[in-house]
Amino acid sequence: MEKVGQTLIIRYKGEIDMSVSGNIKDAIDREMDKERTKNLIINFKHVEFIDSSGLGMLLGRYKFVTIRSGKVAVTGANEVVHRLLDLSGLYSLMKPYKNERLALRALGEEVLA
Amino acid sequence: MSKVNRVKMQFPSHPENVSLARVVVATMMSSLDFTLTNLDDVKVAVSEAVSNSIMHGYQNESNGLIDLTIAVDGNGLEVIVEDRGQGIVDIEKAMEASYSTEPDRMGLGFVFMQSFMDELEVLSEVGKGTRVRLYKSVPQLQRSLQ
Ligand SMILES: Nc1ncnc2c1ncn2[C@@H]1O[C@H](COP(=O)(O)OP(=O)(O)OP(=O)(O)O)[C@@H](O)[C@H]1O
Ligand SMILES: [Mg+2]
Repeated sequence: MEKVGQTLIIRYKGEIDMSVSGNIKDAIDREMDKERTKNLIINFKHVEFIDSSGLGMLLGRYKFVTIRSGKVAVTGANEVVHRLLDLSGLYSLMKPYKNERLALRALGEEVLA
Repeated sequence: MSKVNRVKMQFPSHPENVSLARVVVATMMSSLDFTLTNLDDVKVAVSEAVSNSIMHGYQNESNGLIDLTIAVDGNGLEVIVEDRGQGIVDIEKAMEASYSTEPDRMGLGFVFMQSFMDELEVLSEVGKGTRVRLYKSVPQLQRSLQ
């Protein structure tokens, strides 16, 4: 995880199912509280798999961030992850960007050219 | 004619066993001419069925038992996931998109099983348990190339 301005970036590595989604949820919420960040970027570059438990966890983080009037952005989704984010309708809540830099910029963070 | 293979296993309702089920099914699929997308689709469907048995059937208690049966022949793959958990009160309702008996869930499990597999059958009895049967056939083109 990395903090840039008011944005927390999470780069999870592995498969997101019910065995890890609770831990990921706790880690994100704790870090956002501790660092007082407003926005969240989820980088899926090293996520090979996600199922509905993971998607439900993402919806929960969207709600968590929205309460703080922040935004969630996503990047790096492979084909499976992309398909599920699309089918679940989550893309209408968290926009996809080509890379972290573009996501950061869209969230209003200063990024070097 | 490809040969028939059939594997039966039983495991406790631990969340870590969801990935075990995915790996075993994926390994069985590799003997057939499924596409990579087929493989991803089936992995999601199996993950959904096993997760449901653990979190709904056994309400996250880890002392339940899940039976997983995987069968392949030249035409396709059949996966059966069975639990002896609490069962489903209204199957039709449970299978509706966005329907969930839990507030934090999206109610997508059955939707994914339905759209990613060629066949989905759900049998359930309250207090007895639930049996989900999934079937995926090998794509036609792939079959004719054999
Ligand atoms: N094996 C099972 N035993 C008991 N109830 C089940 C079982 N499988 C599904 N259900 C019931 O069916 C409902 C719908 O299941 P489905 O997988 O579609 O959604 P969900 O599990 O609630 O949410 P999601 O899959 O998106 O995390 C569940 O909320 C649950 O009430
Ligand atoms: Mg489910």
